[in-house]
Amino acid sequence: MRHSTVSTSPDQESGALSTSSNTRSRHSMRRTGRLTLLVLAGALLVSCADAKSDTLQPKSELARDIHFLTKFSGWLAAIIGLLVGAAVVFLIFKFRERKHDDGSLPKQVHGHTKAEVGWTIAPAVLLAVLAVVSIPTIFDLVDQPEGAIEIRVEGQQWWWQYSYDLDGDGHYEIVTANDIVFPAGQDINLEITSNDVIHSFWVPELNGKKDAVPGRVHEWRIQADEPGEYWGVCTEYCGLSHADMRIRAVALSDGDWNAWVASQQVAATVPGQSFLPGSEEEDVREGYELFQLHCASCHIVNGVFEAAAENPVPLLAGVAPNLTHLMSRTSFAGAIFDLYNEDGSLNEADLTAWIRDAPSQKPLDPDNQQGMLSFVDSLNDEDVQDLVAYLSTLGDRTPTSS
Amino acid sequence: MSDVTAPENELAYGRTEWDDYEHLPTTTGLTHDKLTMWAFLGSECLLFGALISTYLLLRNKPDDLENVGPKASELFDIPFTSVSSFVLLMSSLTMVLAVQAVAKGDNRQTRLWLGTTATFGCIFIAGQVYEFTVFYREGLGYTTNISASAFFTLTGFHGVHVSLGIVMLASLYILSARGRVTQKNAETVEIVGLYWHFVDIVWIVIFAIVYLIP
Amino acid sequence: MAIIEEEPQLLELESGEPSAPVPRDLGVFARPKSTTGWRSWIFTVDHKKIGIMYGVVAMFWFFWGGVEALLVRSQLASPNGEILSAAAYNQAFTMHGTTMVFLVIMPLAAAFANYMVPLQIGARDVAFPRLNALGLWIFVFAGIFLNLSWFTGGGADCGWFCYSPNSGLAYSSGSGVDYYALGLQIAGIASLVGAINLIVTILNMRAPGMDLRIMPIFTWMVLVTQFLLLFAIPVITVALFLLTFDRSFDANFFNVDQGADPLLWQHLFWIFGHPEVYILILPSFGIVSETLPVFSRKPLFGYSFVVFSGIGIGFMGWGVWAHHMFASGLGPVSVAAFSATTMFIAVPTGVKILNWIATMWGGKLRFTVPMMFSISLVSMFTIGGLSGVMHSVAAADTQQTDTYFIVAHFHYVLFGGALMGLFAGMYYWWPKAFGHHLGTGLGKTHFWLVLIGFNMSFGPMHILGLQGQARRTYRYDENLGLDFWNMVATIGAFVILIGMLVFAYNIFRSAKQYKSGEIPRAEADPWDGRTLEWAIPSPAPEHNFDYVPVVTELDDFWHKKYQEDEDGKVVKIADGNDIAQKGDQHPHLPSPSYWPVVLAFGFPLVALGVIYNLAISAVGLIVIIGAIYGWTLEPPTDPDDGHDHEGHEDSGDGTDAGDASTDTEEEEAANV
Repeated sequence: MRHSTVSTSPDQESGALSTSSNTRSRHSMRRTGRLTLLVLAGALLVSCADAKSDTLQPKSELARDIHFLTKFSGWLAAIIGLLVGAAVVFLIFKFRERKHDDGSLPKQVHGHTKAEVGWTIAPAVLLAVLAVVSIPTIFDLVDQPEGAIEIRVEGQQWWWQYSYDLDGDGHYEIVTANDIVFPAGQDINLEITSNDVIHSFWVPELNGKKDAVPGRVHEWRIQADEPGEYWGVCTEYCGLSHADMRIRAVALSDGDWNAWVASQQVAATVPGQSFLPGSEEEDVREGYELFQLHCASCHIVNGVFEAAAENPVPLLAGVAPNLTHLMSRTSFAGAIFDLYNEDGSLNEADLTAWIRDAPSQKPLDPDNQQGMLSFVDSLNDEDVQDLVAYLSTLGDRTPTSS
Repeated sequence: MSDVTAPENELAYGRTEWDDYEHLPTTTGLTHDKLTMWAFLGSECLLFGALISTYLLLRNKPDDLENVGPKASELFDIPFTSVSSFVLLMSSLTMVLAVQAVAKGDNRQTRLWLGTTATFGCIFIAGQVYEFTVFYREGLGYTTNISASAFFTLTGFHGVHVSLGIVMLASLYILSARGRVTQKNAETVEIVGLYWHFVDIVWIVIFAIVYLIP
Repeated sequence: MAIIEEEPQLLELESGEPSAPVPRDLGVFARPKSTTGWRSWIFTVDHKKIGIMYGVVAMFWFFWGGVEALLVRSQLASPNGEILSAAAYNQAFTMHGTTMVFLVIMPLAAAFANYMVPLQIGARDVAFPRLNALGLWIFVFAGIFLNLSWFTGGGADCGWFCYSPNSGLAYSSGSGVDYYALGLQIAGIASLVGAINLIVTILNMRAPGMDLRIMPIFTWMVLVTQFLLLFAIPVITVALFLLTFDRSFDANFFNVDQGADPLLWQHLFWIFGHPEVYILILPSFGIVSETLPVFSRKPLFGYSFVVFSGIGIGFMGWGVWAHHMFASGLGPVSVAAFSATTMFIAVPTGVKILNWIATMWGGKLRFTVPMMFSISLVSMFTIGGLSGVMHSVAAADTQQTDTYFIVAHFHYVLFGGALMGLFAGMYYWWPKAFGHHLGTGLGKTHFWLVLIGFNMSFGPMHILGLQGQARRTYRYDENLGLDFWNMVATIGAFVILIGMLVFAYNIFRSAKQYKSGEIPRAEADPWDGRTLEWAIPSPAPEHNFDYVPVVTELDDFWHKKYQEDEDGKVVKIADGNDIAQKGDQHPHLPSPSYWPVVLAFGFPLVALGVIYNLAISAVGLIVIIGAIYGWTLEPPTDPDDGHDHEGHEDSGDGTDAGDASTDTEEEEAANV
């Protein structure tokens, strides 16, 4: 499909290009045109190589079904487009008024009913075929297989929360943010909703998008063939930081998944109070106390800070990310920053900057209860270091077998 | 095409001068004013269609929340509204009589029926104001809840339409009293009549859908 | 309760009106008299001057919307762009879309409709000249009002579609959204006034003999467009009222806590919004259906099919709105139904394209600038139409909607379709409107730059969308592999800018040359045209036609120039310029008036009052009512001119009351 799309527009362009050209420049133009095409094709290959959320590289059964339809309709469109383009180019050359025209009129044709009827029916038939081929997939996409793992997806300004009710008792055992973690090779049922405005959940390589609408729960499904990390982004405009409301879908092997599920259900503990002065434990303890002072009114840490669960959070969305297993995630701040550097160390630079002054890292409007406050005035560098030390004790990095 | 003869150059187009043109009939035979009213009423259908749909969608909200006041439909006084609806319906009849009177050239009758129609309209509006006041006392203000906003907006829009109709009728009455609405321009009365009937019909729809269907 | 409290006020003021002493004839003031200078433009009721003003104002907003577009493209040229803040970016793309749709393409189409429809149907003016001026001025004030928001805390930042609940007070606390809602409301009144006026004009004022089966195709497409406007505008009027009532009067229409469904807004918006797409594109279809036959020297192939497919699009356009909502969470059954209807609306569109190709087929094509723009419409719109068919596959659309693939699609439709057609119309009718041609060399440069820039800018967006770039995002990650095509798109946008600068220079230069006599006055019939507007001198005289044309054929003027000889061969029998009317008569014309512009000025005041203080609204209402009062007391034609009344309103004294009623209804939609 990618190729067909690319080739449609330059073709049209070169078709139209030749409109004005007088014959002598036509050859050079054609050469430039070919060269341009080559450059474009090359650039396209290069640019696609590391695309991380490409609908053209489906990584699941569902995405492949959709991709088939995109290709099918795309080729259909491309063929018709090329035919029309070719007809236009042909008549531009064939029927242009010659230099020494005698001024007589061409044959005056007013119409042709049979032709008209023909080209009314022909596209209708083509489109009927397209309808028959494509409509069943609409129903497949919303199909929710029995017994599949169910994840509640909640959009809010401007991050995603994922809750897992593993035993189906209506209580969410696992609540996490930014990374939606699930086992590869299975159907995952999603219940998509929103806590404030309309968002849209989209991981292009795994399935199409579905809006998260407040007051409604939409059923949707994803799957991934292989363990791995897939990227996505909110695709319904949701205000200031819409661009920074991203999605990481982390598919795990069955073994990793089971380990992840087990570890996520472990509550956090209060850091001990006995430590050597100047030790790392002291930083953690101080970070813990700072967290209690500055962070716990919004953020939950299971087993330690539950205040935010009981009292309303001062945010329009009414919820801030649960940080119990922060370190098990790959990203933070609406998945715009990696939590770990490539060498595996904690991305302290971004994390520190984020804690100190979140609104400078990502557009937020805390004055209107949209997003995290700036702590520039209330936390000094050492405080932030202590908080990072505390946060780094929350959960373990998720092992991935890939 | 073949039966067209070669034109004389200067007069290739038209031999009619503008002064004659001004007395040519319109293409459809309807006057501009009347056609305008029809087009406008067509547009109004969609306006009320959208408002009524909105009300239907929101009439039962809020679902189960407490402390947000009653729903509009819980406060309806059907007998009262039936009477005021009947008055409005009757005003359509008197409007017809006014149109007939002016067509016959009976200016006194025209004024009588125009005045009656306007009065009936005023009675309807008074009834609406009374209804709104009662609702407000019962704790249902415009901002109380969704169904209230939808109800007041829909009926309010209609009320404004009726009020404008009354203004038009009153204008016609006064013009008639000054001898400026006569048989010659009976169509003006007819056009206002079209508007008035439309507003009545819309009310019948609103009354049936909003008040009568539970 | 606020709104309800306002009613009695309205009632009192209105009912006070007729009891005032009724001076006859001139109304409160003497009428404007100027025939030159700015006054002759501001107070004019001449459909041609009004058309030109629509065009000028729309081109100003085109420039401004283009600046917004270039800001957006500059920001996106590379990953994590830092030219605009997120807030500024959100305002820029919102206002870009709103401006281009409501303040550029719609009024440009209105410019052509106003100028050309009376000429094409052989009428002296539109049915209600003052109402026509009113429509223009309301539109002008709507544009100014909408953009006032830049100076009062920032433009709207909710997207041109302004979905609830993000548009609610809690999430968009600035006044930008209020300006958006009220500005579009005002613009809607302008469109409605214009639509009614043009419908009546086209239905009622055709030259003797011109029945609907031989009406010029552009006029036909305008008629379909005006009917779409007539029925679509009230729907968005309601939606915008609900939004304004929520924001300004604490109503609860979109209060999710009470169980409101945000999809209500989407339905209302798109029930308007999809017919709106055809409102934008059909006038351009009409334009190229005029230019292609002229420059192919053949009649339009399958006139009746083109007309009926236009009507078909007009009808079917009402049954496809939910294809904007495939991801919104409608049930699969509705999605499937709308998917199917959307596919089939491609049929009438395809019919049009094939008819255009058949029109050119076998002709003798003259590659004038308008022809080049027309052909580019045929090919560029085809691309946009075909990608539209791809979206109609609802399952595939879940990968496409709200990505740059959609952005590419609708720019191919609205730029490659609507704007290309409008440019074709400008070059085609420029001599008729201004008396001289635009420069051909510069025109071709303009064409090539715009065509190339357009394809560079929007072609790559197909790829970007499929590669997963979401719309309305002020930055994107450098790891997504989107850098290259974004850069290309941005360069393309600047190429368009250069093209438009060339166009501006072309206008400026040819006007100057015409003034100094370097280029001659255009002939009456410079293109060997087919329709009545070429049967009068260029520029069109103030009174349009010396004599009422009597029409017998489709493309009647052409049939005055060409006939079959004995062998059945079509030969030229007369030159268009010789048989055209001379424009030397001086019939009596409708008189200019102050009231349209005064009345229009009331609307932004009412709207400002809704945002800041209802006292300002009261002042606005007084202005409106006063203007209606003056308007109704003023005869359409100044009796001091020494002639009798204007044709259609010669019914005598009662006209005033009739006028009063019509006008009152017009603005009640805005006032309540």
